[in-house]
Amino acid sequence: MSQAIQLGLFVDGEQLPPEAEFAAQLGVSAMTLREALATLRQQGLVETRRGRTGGTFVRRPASPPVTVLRERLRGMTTSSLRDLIDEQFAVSGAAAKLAAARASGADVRRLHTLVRQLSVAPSLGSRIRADSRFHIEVAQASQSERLTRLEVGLQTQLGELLWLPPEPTVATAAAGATKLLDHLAVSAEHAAIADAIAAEDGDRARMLAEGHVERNLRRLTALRLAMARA
Amino acid sequence: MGDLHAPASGVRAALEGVFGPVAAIGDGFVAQRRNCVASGTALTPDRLAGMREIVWQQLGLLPAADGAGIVAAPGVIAGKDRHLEWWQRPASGEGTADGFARIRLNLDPESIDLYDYLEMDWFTIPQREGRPYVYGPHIDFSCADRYVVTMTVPVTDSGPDGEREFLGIVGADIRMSHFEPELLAILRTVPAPAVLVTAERRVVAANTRSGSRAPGCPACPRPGTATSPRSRRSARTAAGSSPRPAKRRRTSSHA
Repeated sequence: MSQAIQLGLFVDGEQLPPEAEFAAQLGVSAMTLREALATLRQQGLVETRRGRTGGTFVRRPASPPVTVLRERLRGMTTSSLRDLIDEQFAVSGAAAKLAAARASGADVRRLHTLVRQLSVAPSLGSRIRADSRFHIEVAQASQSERLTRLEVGLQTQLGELLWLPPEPTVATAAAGATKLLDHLAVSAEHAAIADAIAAEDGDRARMLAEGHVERNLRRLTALRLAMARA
Repeated sequence: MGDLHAPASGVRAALEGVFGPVAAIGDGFVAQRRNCVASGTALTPDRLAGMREIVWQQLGLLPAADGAGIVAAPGVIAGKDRHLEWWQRPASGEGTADGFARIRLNLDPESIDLYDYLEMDWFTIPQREGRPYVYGPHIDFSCADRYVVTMTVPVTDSGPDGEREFLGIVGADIRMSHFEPELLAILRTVPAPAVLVTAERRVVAANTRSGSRAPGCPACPRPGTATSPRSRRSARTAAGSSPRPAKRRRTSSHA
């Protein structure tokens, strides 16, 4: 469900069906659903209100609250961050290589659409989404169910953090993460990956995707280190 | 090279088995639309939802289907540019008649997450070419989170001026794990290395170890390029006939 919220299948403020009905719809037990909702509540993806107008509601604001993201990043150690990016490195590189061998014309068109969407996305929220969707679509184009599932999970955990604006402190400047992530630069890197996939050049697609992830690691590590000093 | 007619018609028959139940959903859609037109009422989302039992019934006939339903053309459902009535088997368990779940998709045109089926091949190609279509296999993460083949049929009816009016498509997502054994069995009857490829040269099944794309397959467009004249011709011959596997699949041997 956190993935479904991440993929935008639920809109902000939407009320979820009553528990029994929802559990039946999903084909899971009421117990499983309750546990899942508790996890989502922790992640801040749903909130439960009591009373006559009560119920469980989806929280997916158009632009994510920066303070919440900052706390999430603060809660991670640089080594756990590196470990996540290592997984991203393996998944994105392999997915790009396989996509070059397997992508359909429709997949390639969709990738190019997402490149364009990122280049014109006006808000932080829409940039985060266009970025995440691009990586998920590459995984889908690889025709691998498992890689796709891993990529969606990674985007859920990392996708927003990457776009976090740095705190305006001296320490941030010292750590070399002074600027907001440049969506045009990211879009250009995506375009190059999409072109390599369209050209069926797997080695190049992989190399570009891996380089892309490495730059992400540097940025996130710098952001995190700047926080520790602040 | 052996005779490829028998394996080719085997592949066609394997796919055609699915189009029957899918077309039955389409018949229901047309009937519902006619009811509304006759009684002068709007075809609202609620009225379309009244067709869910037909969808469930046909899903019952398609145990390998992850989901099935109706995807409407713009304006066919009152006040809706995009609307669908699509039902899925829950991820776990077999799913009983009342255990199906209605799919939820983001159809908000303002959202980056818009699931814009008006741009998707499984919708646009049957619409444009008036024929059933086989899309995939592909990972349908938005819908099924599975490796599936999406099989769709255009739905049309006579408009007020006697013109054919396009109402939308009906379709089903069939798990690739269902087709694979059948396709393999067919390819194994060919006494030479044989692959089944899509029009884009993607290998769907092979009787020997094979790459992801058939390299030397002639007259197949590369991804992202225009359809070749040859496949347009074959599309015309398929138009207007009974359901048949539409996306040109070719059994070719490379020895």
